Amino acid sequence: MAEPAKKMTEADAKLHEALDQVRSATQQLHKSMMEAVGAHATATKSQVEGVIQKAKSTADAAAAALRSQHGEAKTHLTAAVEKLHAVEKQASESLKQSGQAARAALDKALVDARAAVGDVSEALAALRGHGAKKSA
Amino acid sequence: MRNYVAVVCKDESKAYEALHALWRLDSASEVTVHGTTIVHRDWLGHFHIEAKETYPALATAIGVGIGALLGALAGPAGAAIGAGGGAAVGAAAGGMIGGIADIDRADTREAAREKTRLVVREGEYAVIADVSEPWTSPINTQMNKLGAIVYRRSREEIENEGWYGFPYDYYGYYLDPYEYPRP
Repeated sequence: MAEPAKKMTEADAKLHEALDQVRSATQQLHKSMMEAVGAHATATKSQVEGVIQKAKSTADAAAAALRSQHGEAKTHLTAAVEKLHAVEKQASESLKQSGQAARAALDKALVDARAAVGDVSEALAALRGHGAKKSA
Repeated sequence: MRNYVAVVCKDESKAYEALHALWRLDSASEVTVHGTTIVHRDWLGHFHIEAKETYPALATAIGVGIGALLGALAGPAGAAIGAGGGAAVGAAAGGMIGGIADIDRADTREAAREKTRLVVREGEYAVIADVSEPWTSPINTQMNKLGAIVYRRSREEIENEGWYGFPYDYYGYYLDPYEYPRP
């Protein structure tokens, strides 16, 4: 039996909207990394620079959304911001390296990007109240 | 509750309909989808994972990860099969990943049939998803409309089994964290 929908306040709606936007940006980051970095053993300098820029803007958006979140959602979003900064750092590191070291840095960036999407979706699940109840 | 869900469909188009239905439920905030993928069991019994083109090392990692999840979704019997080497995975040309979860091994077939929670027969497709769902009815209702069978195991249960000793987030990691169109 489905639970009756709860009425959402305007403030709640804004929280959800902010998190939806961060999720979308984080998904886009991972998607573009998979297309640019995940598909080939090498990535061009401009592709990596694009990743760095996107990771930075996504981290900024997540940090901005973080200010209005609470509880479990805030915890997950904080973790996402840290991982997005790690993406930026690892991708930057890859530009300073070459060969396998550059590839390893990009692989770590990809792992962090995937983990960031997971953290944001967990934040969204917490905000939606999907984690608290038993399945029926 | 956080669950891994497998939606078994008769053909590819139904599998993509099921995939899109899951993400629509997410958009409607009925459930939260953390990741999805589609697997196909060919007529030789091998699982092929629908995935974007990836370089070989990553393709192999994805294959191993999804193979492990398939084994875990199959319950204790499937987990034993996987641990015995059934989830061996290789990457093939063109970005197609060949994952093999050998659920048809003769010595374990009967046990698997008895205990398994996930059965994908030759020629069938399955949408594998990592979801947070307060109720099971939204997914069950949508998938039943498509004539699909839903299998479900809690993430907690699977991760407590730890049959490969994988870290906490391992199983869901290689699922795609967004919707993708049918190629």
